[in-house]
Amino acid sequence: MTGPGEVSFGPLRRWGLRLLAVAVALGAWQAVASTQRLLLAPPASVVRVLVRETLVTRVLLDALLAALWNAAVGYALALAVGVPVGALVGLSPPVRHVLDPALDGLYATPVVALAPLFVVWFGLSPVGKVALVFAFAVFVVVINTKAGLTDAPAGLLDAAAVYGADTRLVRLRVRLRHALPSVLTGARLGAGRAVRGAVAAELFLYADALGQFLIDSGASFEVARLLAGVVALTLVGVLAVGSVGAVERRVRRPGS
Amino acid sequence: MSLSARRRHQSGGAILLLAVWVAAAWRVGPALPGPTALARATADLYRSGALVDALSGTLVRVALGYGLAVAVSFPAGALMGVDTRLDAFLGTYVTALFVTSVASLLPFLILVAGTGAGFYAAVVFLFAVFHMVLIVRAGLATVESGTRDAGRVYGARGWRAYVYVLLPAALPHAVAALRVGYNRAVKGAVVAELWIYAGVGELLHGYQRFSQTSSALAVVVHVVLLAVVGVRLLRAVERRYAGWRVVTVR
Repeated sequence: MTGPGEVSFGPLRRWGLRLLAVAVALGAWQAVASTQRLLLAPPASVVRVLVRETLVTRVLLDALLAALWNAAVGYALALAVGVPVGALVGLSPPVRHVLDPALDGLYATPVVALAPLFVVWFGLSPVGKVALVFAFAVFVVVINTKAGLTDAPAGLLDAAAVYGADTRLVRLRVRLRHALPSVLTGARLGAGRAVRGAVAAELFLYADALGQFLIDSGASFEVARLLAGVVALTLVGVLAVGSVGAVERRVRRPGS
Repeated sequence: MSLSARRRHQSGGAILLLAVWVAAAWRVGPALPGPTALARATADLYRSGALVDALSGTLVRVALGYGLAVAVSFPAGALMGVDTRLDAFLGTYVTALFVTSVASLLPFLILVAGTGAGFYAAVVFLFAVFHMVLIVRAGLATVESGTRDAGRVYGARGWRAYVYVLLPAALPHAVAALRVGYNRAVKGAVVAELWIYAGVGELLHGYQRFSQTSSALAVVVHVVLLAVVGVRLLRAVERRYAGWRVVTVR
């Protein structure tokens, strides 16, 4: 074992190890799949099915787009509600005292437990799915917005005061600017949770497009089709979080 | 801000929220049960014993998968935090699986693991393990160089540095990993139970079918309590024994 922090590790070797990890995983997958033909499909056939279902028949692509639409609407609502509520909680101590314990609890809540209630409340409609996505994503947005506004940047506020900008409006603007990275962290985490919420909505509310795809594939032992769905979803999740993360990095860039 | 002001805000806010709840319940009707309907449903659930049975079953399933996740994530994270080669290698799997929606794996897991204890253990494990690995790993990888240098001055090199400096420095992260992992484990157990109608999942599906919203809400409240009480307990442990290093878990 090398001592901690003593080796400088080139990006080339790091990527080499990552590729090795992928190769080992694919090899092991292939090896297991060749003995367990019923329960596991080899990686090549998963890729083949993935390409077929997204580019040729487009069944999976349409299913994903339908689920993503719910995710996007729910996510937009979560941002539209979560950021102002988080700002209110962060800026007003009385509101914070009332809502903080509740927010903490709601953040830890397994939101999917609400799915059966949503079926009763919203029926088998897209509204229920959007509501579930909203419930998945909103609390992490609220909590991170709040966190950014609660720890007031005393140094920055002093600096603003030194330059004679001690009005309430300027102080608020300084605090908002200071909170922006934290708000964006909430937005990034919220994007990931929105995608997960859309998957949960497909599986636990009612299955029309994506849920149907996954459940039918599993029920008919079409494992390659099932895993192609999982892989596609993973890619979509990475893409969603990655694109919000890119916005976050742009804003966080020093000197911006 | 004095304590009494906080108390005043909290009691005022609680009364306000209660009033809003009562008004909303009165307006919406039976679909949204009010406080009294919820209390009555809760009492019924306790009297029949259904809730206690379901929750204890859920807790056992949480414990199994969570224990497994702790047993795997702590050594894995502890090694990845100090060995950059291992980190690059294992980290590839952890990141790939971290972003995978475990829920989308449910139809697959049920093929592989069946509907027995193995299924719950697998779902709970997959929900909890990657978060925990990443937090433990961060605990070791982000030990400040000052702490390391101090250890080196006192002769802690190689495995000694690991055992006497790095592992103790990672304790706060270990407790944070336990807390986040527990929360994830409860979420995983609820997902698994909703999927194959067991424990609280079975109860929720049953009440949904007959639109017994007050009973369903009572079950949800207890699921929330199961998650929140555990998280609060572990956070108290964190404050008591590990308050000297701030862990931000996003």
